[in-house]
Amino acid sequence: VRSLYDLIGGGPTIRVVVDELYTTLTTDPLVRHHFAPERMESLKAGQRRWFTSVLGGPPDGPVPDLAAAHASLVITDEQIAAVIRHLAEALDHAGVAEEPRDRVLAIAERLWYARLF
Amino acid sequence: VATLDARRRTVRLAHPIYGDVVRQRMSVLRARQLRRELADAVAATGGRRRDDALKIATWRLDTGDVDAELFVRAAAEARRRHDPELAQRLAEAAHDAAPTLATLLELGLNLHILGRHEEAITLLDSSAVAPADDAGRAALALLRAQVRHRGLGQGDEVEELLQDALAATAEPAARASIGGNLATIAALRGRAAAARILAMSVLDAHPDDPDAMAALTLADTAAGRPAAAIERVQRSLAANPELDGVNVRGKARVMAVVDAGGIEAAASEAADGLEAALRAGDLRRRSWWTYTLGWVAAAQGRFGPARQFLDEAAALYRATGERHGQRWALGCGLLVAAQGRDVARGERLAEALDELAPHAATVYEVHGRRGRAWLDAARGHVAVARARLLDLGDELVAAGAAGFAVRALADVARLGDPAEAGQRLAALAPGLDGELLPVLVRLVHAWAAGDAEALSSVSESLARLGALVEAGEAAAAARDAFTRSRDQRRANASARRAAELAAATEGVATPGLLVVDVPVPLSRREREIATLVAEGRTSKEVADGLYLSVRTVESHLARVYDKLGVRSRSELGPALGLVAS
Repeated sequence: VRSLYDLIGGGPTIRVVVDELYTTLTTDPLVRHHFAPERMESLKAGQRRWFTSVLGGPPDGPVPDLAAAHASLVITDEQIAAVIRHLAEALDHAGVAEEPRDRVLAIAERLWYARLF
Repeated sequence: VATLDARRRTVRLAHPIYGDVVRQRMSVLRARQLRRELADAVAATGGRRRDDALKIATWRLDTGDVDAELFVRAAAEARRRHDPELAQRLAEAAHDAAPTLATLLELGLNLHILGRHEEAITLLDSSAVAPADDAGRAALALLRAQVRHRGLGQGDEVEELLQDALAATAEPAARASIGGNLATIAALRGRAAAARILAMSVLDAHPDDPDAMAALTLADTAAGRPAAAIERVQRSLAANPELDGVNVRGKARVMAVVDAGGIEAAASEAADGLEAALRAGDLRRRSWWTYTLGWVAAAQGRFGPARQFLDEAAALYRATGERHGQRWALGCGLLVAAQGRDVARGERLAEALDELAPHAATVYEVHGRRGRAWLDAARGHVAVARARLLDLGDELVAAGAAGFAVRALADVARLGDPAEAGQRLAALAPGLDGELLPVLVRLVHAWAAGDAEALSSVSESLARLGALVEAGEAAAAARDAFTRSRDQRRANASARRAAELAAATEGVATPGLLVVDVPVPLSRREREIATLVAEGRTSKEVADGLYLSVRTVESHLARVYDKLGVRSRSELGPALGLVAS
């Protein structure tokens, strides 16, 4: 069976999606103050491992505990909606097909609104 | 953004992962020095708090300063926090420093959790560590059995191993846990009678043993007596609320709840279970509940969500290296694909199943074998499909798993041979309890007899129980029977009912339902958008809901208008066959 990770195109797609996502996040006034430019590369690497793990990809180093990383921040539903919208755009940008795209978004919705980052 | 100082403080005290981030920026020597200082500082205060052992051990891991007893405690703590990588490293360090039964078990368990079953079994089978007492011997035997059964899919070897352990053990509690596990494996392999005897003998002495309880629940469910299983679980939970809720309340019971006719209840229980597992970050329970949500959705005829959950479950089970779960999820996915007449997807899943060796436990194989038969049917080889299902039914009956057999035999009827299926089911019917299984048997008999009124009453019973696919098929069969008896009025009513039930399912395309109406050839996205618009949503609302641009929504909608030959939003609902509200 193919995992969601495989269905969207594996590591290369995740790299493109995460790059695009962070490009948009750093320009969105609603959320950009949460992303320090000097930490960008390590944030992206962590996010790539998180997606890989959540979407059933092969183990790829330690998965960051993003729930803990967000614990000290106040994050509104509005901000989460914005990030999911940006994720949708990033998935489209990477050319992910309709069905896996929606499933990735559904997972992100389910986890993030429950503050399970 | 939290300041770096604040973050650093949080990290060190509460979150090792943060510590890792901070320390990654330091030189190796500086980081190691820092870890040693931290470990010594906490150790100096006495290491009293619950997670102190874990902290000290993690900091000391690469300083070579190993205290086996402390490390094994720390490994167990890391495992409870669902960090098996760290737990395995800690247990390995402890085991290398001073091998004991405790270090052996902890290391073996964590290798198993990480999916490294072969390594785990080599370690456990060949270790020189000799357990000092019956409790230790039982613990070692149970872990070896678990790795072989869950990890490697073995059956006979596992039962033999546990039988040997049982013969060598005198201490009652240790005998109970070995017996409970033996019973579980017999139940999983569909040998309901043997499982029940074993489980009962354990429960005589230990009425609350969770393994034996779960085994008995599963045995009763396999044998087609889910209601008895549920009642017993309820009684035990009422008598002893402290009982291990996961084993007894969870897994085997949800299967019983569905077979007893409580599909809705099972669905909400599974959703709660998944939420709790997500909150706890427990990957194994998450796999199980995701799988459960999948097959419960399949039982409800909601094939879209079923597909998603089952794909996700298969991926999760693959991540944890649990072959039984992979075969379960893939097999159920195959069944869903084939009943949805998605041959390409079905073939992909069948191939994936072929790549994984079969599991010795019947319960993990039943979906897949039904799925293969339905795939044959979807390819047009209906007779082959029925033959496969009759074989499966006979095998299950011979093993004592009448409950599982009912499904396979009902499939034979649904694929066009209710007479043959009915003959075999007649012998099983008296032993079945609960609501769903007896209704399925009545469906087959009514179908075989061409009894229109019975078919339409069975259809309503099935609809009430939430089994919408079979309910729709029964209504369609009732229409045919009424037509044959020239009762056009009731034939029309049954046809309407069948269409209604078919519309309530999603993605189902069994032969019994396909006769209901000609589906409108919309793509998934088109149907989704059309339905939302027909329900009165604006393009903007639909776009926001699906994370699409308004332009994309409008262009899909234009294609829908074209295909359905309608010109406005108000005409969409009737064209899609939606009931006006």
